[in-house]
Amino acid sequence: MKKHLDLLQLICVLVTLLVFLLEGFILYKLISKGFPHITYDFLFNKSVNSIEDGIYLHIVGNVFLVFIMILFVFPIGVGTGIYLQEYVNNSFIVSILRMSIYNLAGVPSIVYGLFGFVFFIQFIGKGIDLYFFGGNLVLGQPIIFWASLTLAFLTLPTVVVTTEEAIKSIPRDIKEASYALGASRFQTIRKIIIPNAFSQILTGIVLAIGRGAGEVAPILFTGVAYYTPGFSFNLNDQFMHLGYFIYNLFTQSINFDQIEGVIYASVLVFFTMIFILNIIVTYIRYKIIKRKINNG
Amino acid sequence: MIKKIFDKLFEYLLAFFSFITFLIMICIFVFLIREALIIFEYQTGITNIFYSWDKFGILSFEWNPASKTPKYSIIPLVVNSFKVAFIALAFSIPIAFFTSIYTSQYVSLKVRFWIKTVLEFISSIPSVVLAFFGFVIFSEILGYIFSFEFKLNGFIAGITLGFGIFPSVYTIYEDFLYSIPKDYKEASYALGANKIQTIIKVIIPFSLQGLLVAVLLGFNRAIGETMIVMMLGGNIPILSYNLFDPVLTLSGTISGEMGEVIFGDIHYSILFILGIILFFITFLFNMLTLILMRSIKKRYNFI
Repeated sequence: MKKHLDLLQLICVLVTLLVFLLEGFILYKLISKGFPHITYDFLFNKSVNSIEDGIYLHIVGNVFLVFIMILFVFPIGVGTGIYLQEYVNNSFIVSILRMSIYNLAGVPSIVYGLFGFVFFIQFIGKGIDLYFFGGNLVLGQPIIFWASLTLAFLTLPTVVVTTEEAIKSIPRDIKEASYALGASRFQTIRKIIIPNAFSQILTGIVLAIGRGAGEVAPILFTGVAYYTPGFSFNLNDQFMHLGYFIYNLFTQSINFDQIEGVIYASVLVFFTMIFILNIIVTYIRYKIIKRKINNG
Repeated sequence: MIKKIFDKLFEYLLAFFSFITFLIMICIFVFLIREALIIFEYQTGITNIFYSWDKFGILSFEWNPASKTPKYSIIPLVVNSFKVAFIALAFSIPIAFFTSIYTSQYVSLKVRFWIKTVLEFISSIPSVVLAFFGFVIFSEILGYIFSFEFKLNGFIAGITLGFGIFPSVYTIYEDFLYSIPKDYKEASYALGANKIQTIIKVIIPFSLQGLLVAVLLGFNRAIGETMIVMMLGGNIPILSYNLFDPVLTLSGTISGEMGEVIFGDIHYSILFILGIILFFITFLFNMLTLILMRSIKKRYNFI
């Protein structure tokens, strides 16, 4: 068949190239302006007395926040996904659960922030303080624990949906073979479903981490602080966050040119953290799609 | 026996986790409403959140919580939110449309995977970072073309937001295009149509409802996005239909003013009303897309 010029194809290629170009420009600008400013001190200096000191505490706060988030989102998300796919036969319960997951995915992140403030801090935190700590302020204030929980529920739909997709893609025969051999449901899940669906479930978790690490809006009122003197692994402390730091640099600074190096370097580090997570996701997906192509 | 008990326990544990998911959904709804209802404890009345009369007796729509007699009209915030969201959609729909057609119709499976990965990579950029680049890149380029009166305005926020929501529109529409059954295409080829005729006359008309779903979800993302509009919008709550004026949106107001309100104050409860408005807009559009997708599924038996 002779190939001739197709106007539509031309437009499509041009538009795709335009997006590629924009992305490339962002990367170029980021690396060329941010990279020279990144030094050992900038990354690992624990003092935060001035903006130029470094972002070590911000990175640690960010990572710890996401770590606690995983502790919650992993069991709840994967558990819900398995439950929906393997256990419930009642279509009413399924449709209610599906609907709430679908809607949770659509709720804006700032609304999660409001919800986290009211539900976790004012309702649960203050409640626990009143009954267990005699009214002392322990949990009824913005702390890293509540921020993590808020993020956990923000990223929950991602994990549930990918877990469901992963389980759906397992051939029925394998499961039925397992049941035919007399395995219980739990055994089938542990020995057949989880190992087979593992790589796809992992993509969901990594995607959730990427989303959780990058969101700033939901943690604004639930625990982030512009300045804390150090970092502790206490769950009832405020924390510093790289994204919030960038936001503050951007909005609060009087002289943009003066802090340009710091802001580009912080953005580069923040971006790289999430970029690495994305590479992991892409790698797993590439392996899955390669298997699909090879199998025809 | 122990095996059976263990099995049952595991099931209950999973059921409990699922119940938490459901519970959170309900709690978001209940607790937002609970805080918003505080407004009725004040004498000023509910109409205040829509309009007020200024000292000359003229109807005014003004958001100004810091003035001597605080004014809480939500109208400018809602208008600004929609304004920015529409700019974002106007920017992202055409791009998503052409890129989707390209990757779903013109390239091989492997190339499709790579192009898709690169395009969807935008969705993983945190909105703070996107806002920063919106400022660095778009305000420079667009500033040349339009010569803005304000450096931070709704137009820049909208375009950057459009760049940010582009991948979510693209992914949904592209998947839809890709999953259109081969029969349609082959029937068209069999009638003697060439590729471009097939795409324009068969594939695109068929895919319009998929585009609608994608656009609705993109709108949902756009209306709730906070950091981009807050950093680039200029944060002035004026009621204007000029695209190049500074904007303060619903989400921007919540994030900007929540830290400064007194707990239990009227201003506090109005911020929750804003949250409820956002919640309901997204809820409504979500339900709409759900119904749409279900009807498509039923009619054509795919996706």
